[in-house]
Amino acid sequence: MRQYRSRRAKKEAMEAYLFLLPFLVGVSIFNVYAFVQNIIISFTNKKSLGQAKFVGLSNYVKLLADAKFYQAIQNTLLYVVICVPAVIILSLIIAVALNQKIKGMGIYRTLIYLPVITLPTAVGMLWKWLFNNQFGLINEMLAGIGITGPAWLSDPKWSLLAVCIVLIWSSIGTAVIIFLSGLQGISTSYYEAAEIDGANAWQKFRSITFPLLSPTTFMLVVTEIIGFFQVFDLIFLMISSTSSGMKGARSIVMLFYEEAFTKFNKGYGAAMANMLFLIILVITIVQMKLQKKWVYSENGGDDK
Amino acid sequence: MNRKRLTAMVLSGVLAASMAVTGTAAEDQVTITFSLWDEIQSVVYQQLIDNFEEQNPNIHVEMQLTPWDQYWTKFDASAGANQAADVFFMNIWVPKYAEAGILEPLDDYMEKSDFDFSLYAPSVVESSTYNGVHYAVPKGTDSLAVIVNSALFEKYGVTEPENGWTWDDMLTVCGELKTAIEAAGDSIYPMDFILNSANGAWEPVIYEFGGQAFNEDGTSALASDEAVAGIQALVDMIDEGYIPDYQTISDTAAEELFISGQTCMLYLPTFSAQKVEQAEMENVKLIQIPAAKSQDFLAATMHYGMNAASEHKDEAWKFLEYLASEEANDIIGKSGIDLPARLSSQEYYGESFTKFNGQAFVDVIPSAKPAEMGPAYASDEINSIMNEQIIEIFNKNVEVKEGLEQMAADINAAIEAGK
Repeated sequence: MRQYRSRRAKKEAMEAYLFLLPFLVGVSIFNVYAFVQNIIISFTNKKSLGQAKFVGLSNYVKLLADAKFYQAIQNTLLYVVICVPAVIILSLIIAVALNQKIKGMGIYRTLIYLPVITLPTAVGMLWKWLFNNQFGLINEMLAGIGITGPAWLSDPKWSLLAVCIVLIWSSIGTAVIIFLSGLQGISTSYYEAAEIDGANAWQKFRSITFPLLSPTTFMLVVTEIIGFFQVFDLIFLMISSTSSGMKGARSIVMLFYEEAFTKFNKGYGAAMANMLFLIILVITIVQMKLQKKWVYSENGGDDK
Repeated sequence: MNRKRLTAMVLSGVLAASMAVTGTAAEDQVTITFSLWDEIQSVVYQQLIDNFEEQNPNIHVEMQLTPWDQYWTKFDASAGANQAADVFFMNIWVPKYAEAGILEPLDDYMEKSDFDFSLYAPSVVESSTYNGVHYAVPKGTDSLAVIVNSALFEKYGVTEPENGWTWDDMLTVCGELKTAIEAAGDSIYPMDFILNSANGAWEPVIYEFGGQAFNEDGTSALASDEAVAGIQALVDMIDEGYIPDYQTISDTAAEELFISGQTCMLYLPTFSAQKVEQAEMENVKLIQIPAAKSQDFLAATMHYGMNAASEHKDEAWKFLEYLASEEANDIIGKSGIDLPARLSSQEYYGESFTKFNGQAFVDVIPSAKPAEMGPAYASDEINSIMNEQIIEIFNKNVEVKEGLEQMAADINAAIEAGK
């Protein structure tokens, strides 16, 4: 009987692996193989054409002395520091507001999610027009209330903030959906009990919603941080490489793109990508260590 | 049974015969690929391909259009994998791709078909040559002129400039315009340069002031007194409020500012001429660029290259020969998409515009100096150093002299590092 069971389990496992195979092949070709290749390339002087030579650590040495790389790290950290709290707080507020049984709620939820399913190119082009200094709607509206708007995308002092606004606008939708599913997982009996005890709305949020949402919040914080460390597409779409605003908005991935695909210094670009990987890895490990401290767990705190 | 077998044999025989027939047909028909970067130009090139295919029924040309922003990224990736098109647009990067063995040396083909270089603009022929070998067929050249919005001159009561004007004349006109614009309570600019284009604005100005990109010994000449004077002249115009600053043209392209009536004149490269032609503008006039110290100006050149890894080199050469022919150059010139390299076809380019007379572009071609990008291995780096450092200078984060010295030092370091 036992043998039969294990044979059957084996068969089931084989079937499961068979179903997973296409995914595993995809991951190993596009993630694992590419990752290993990237590490190898980072120790060479690979350009776009011709033979690459092994150059040891010199790409990394050059990188650590590159002022542009530090500028890009600083910009990237600013993206993370501005966007992550903004996205988390705004989407939490919106999610709580949307978590009610009101007629037409589906429409609101759809509207909030719309930016996420809009093509990033369309988002980038549209906001580029909105931000235009000469003809843009935003400065037009600011002028209406007597404020002279800045050159959002071409002034290096403002370009990062302008990109942040669009980033936050376009990433809230996903976070709201995830928060909503978290909210719907909270049993209504907690709220009923609190109401009997005379708790007001804020107390209910503070003592029930927020702690019970903390696993969701934690997961979102981790993934949003990783996401904003890799910010690239909107910068690329809204600010041209010859714009004076690029200096203030250039992220690590943007700098990587310029090195690897405009200047064709692929070896150097690969080293840069590896450094970004290390930075994200360290930050994620730190977050995982901190998880126990601030994530509330319903069954006593040591569930695994 | 027997009958069945017979039927099967007959059928398979027919099948084999038909395969043999299609086999030979496919052998006769050769397909070559042709890649280019310009959508406006692609329409005219499709017409050229049709003509060529009519004359060479056994060759089929497949056009591959990649937008400029991705052209070189894609080109390098495909060339690295021996997958580049058989024939392709090439510009000032001839040394880079000749050095990398991507460009087929064309001397043998040219000798066989008596290719006559004297029929083409010397600056284009010169920049298609690397180490004395011809690596590309001349296509066209950039040129520069100043486009004038006559309606605005009339509005402000300022006399329009004419051919033969100088840089100082331009400053005078700008001054008069500025006074009149301010008096009218408007906030537009007298003049306009595409400051974020090296080939389209600031490098040509350096040449006009007697400077150049590289010294005889191959080091950067961008820190010379002449180069500093040229860039300083542009910075002075920004300071005077004669031209929009770098930030403004980063936000709204310089050409757009002119088209929308925000500037009275524009220093116009041929590669942007179609934007003005296709805009809804009346009353514009094209005149020659103002002479500063020298008549020279820098002009990028365009070529057609052949893939050294092509499997159909003879057919590719036939197509290249057609693209260089009088017929093709005339069509290109008449369409106004590009100032053709073939001298006899250039007049058609001048006549191709309906909004203005394009002759000013053609007149100055003898003074055009081909753009250079330094040694092949460093050209990507040099290009990027120039684009980044000029922003610092125009945004006045650094003095002109200091900024250009830094630019030249960085370029020389890049040249030295790759040796």
